Amino acid sequence: MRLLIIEDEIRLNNIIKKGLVEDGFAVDQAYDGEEGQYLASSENYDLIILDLMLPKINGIEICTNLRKKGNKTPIIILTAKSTTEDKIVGLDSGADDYITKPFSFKELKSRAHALIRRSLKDPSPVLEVDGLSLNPLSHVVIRNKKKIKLTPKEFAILELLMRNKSEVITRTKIIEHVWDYNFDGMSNIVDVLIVTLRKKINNGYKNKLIKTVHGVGYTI
Amino acid sequence: MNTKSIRFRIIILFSSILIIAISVIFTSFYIFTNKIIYQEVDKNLLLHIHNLDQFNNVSGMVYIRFDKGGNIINSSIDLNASSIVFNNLFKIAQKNKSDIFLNQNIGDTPMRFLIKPTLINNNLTEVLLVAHPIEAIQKSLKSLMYTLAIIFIIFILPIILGAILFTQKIIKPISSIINKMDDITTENLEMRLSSPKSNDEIEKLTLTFNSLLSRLHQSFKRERQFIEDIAHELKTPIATLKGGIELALSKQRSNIEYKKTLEETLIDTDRISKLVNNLLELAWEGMSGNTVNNKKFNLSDLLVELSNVAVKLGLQKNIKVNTDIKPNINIYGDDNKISRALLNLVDNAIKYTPNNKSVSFSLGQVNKMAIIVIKDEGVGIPKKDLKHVFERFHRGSKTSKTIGSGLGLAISEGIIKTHNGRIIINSKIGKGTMIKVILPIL
Repeated sequence: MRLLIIEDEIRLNNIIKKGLVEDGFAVDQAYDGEEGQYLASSENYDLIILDLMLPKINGIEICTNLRKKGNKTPIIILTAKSTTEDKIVGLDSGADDYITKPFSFKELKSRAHALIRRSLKDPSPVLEVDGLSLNPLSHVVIRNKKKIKLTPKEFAILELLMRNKSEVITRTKIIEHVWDYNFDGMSNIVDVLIVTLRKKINNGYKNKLIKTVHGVGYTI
Repeated sequence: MNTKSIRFRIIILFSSILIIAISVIFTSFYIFTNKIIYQEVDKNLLLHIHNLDQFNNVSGMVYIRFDKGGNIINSSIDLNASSIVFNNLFKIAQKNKSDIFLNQNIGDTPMRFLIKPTLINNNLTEVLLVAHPIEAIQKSLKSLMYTLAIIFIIFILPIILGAILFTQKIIKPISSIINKMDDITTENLEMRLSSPKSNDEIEKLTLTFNSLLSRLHQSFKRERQFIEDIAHELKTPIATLKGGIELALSKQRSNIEYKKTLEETLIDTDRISKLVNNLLELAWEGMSGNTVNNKKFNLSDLLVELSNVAVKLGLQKNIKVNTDIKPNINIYGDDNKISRALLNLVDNAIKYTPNNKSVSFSLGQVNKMAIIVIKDEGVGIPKKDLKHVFERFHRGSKTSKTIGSGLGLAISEGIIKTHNGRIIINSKIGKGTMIKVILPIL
């Protein structure tokens, strides 16, 4: 899952990024409103974490502008403004959730996962395909009661495929959702990871998961 | 009804004044009428006594003549029935030896008597009594009195009612103002009383109250904004602190990583404690000058010290510091606070000046005023920001990434103001900023 943090406090931005990267997200950072709005409208994110008091363009404006353009990415507002009126303005501008600073990191993570779940219209917290289950929050992958150890990137690809099960996911889409903005080219990295992923989840089972759709991408 | 209310007092005052006025008018009217009527009767009696023959056949009129011994010489009526009365009248005449008018009943008939003793060499020779019946007059006067009394009683109720209505009319706008004022709390200070446009004291009261509300609203808004700003300024470093610690604890990490986290938390705690210190200082400064520790000190020396600090601060950025400080300028005040205020300004000047540029200080004296000028060659402040720079937590749009609490200039201004001074700021984008501090030399 790929995520954008728009927060002008550089150190806080870095801490959030670090936490979410450790959780398997691909994270992009923006330090002011202009940069944030540009990235949010040009890239394809699964979630945006947005501060309100930003230089150049404030968070409310960004939110309103994105929704006006038809951008449906879930947005969590993360701000020090904590009055009811502030929350109302924030949510009414098109945000999906509102967290006030100081916040609990675990709560932020849970809310992020909940929003992604809702936006993909999959209400269950654990994803399941043919006896293979994946828990995005606890990062546990189980096939027939056996735990499978995956690297963060493998996990992210598997999560993306399972979230869109029986749909064909292109290589580009995988790159867009699993790597951040700083990833450059090397499209065969996807193929390499798919190979290792297949090995790990299919080892010892007759039913081979993850099929290749030639010239297009992969599906589960 | 509340007996202390203005309403009640006006009603009582108004009705008692009217009632007293009416009763005075009625009483004097009665007394006056009474007097005029008797004067008329007395005039007639005097007239008759001189022309007794001409009038002795006027109906009901009585005359009696006594000699000096009290014996009746002649009389117009049969006297046997009331001889005691006449003897008394004669005795009065003997005693007073002058004309007397008095009322005296003969039988059941009230009469007005004129007792006229005739004196020769101060010796009583004879007494003449002339009397008119005054039954009709007395009856008329009595009925006049009753009529006046009844009219008076009838008047009382309408007077009180009138007083109540009148008072209500006066009090009504005040009551409505009171009701509206009651509705105004700290939550809806933006509410205003509607002016009655009556061009009177009530309208004036309304306008005064409205302007008081506006000022209150402004200051509430400022305070609220200030508290929100404090909250914001504190929450962000606390969020960073908390996030960093939570993240470090979320899994097993290497010692180096823990050390790095601790170093990060130190940055945040420093930032928070600096902010808290500044807030305290600002709060003290806000307490209306009662903390000014007045003593004479050498401002020139202070400026020299500050310019040395500026040289050190500018070392890293290779900023040249020019000084032009006139020696031996002394002012009264708290040297620590003035030093703090000026240091903030110097610090800003260095902070916003790019590498290899210069900053200059000068101190001079004009007409009992010490004038400090701090000039930098920094980025400058846009016009729209210029009037806000002394507001608490204001940070210019271009400076959002420079570290600072946003309170420095507010603190400086507070200190200079408590020393009866002024700060003037001028700036040109790209050319730099000039801050002039004017302090009185006492």
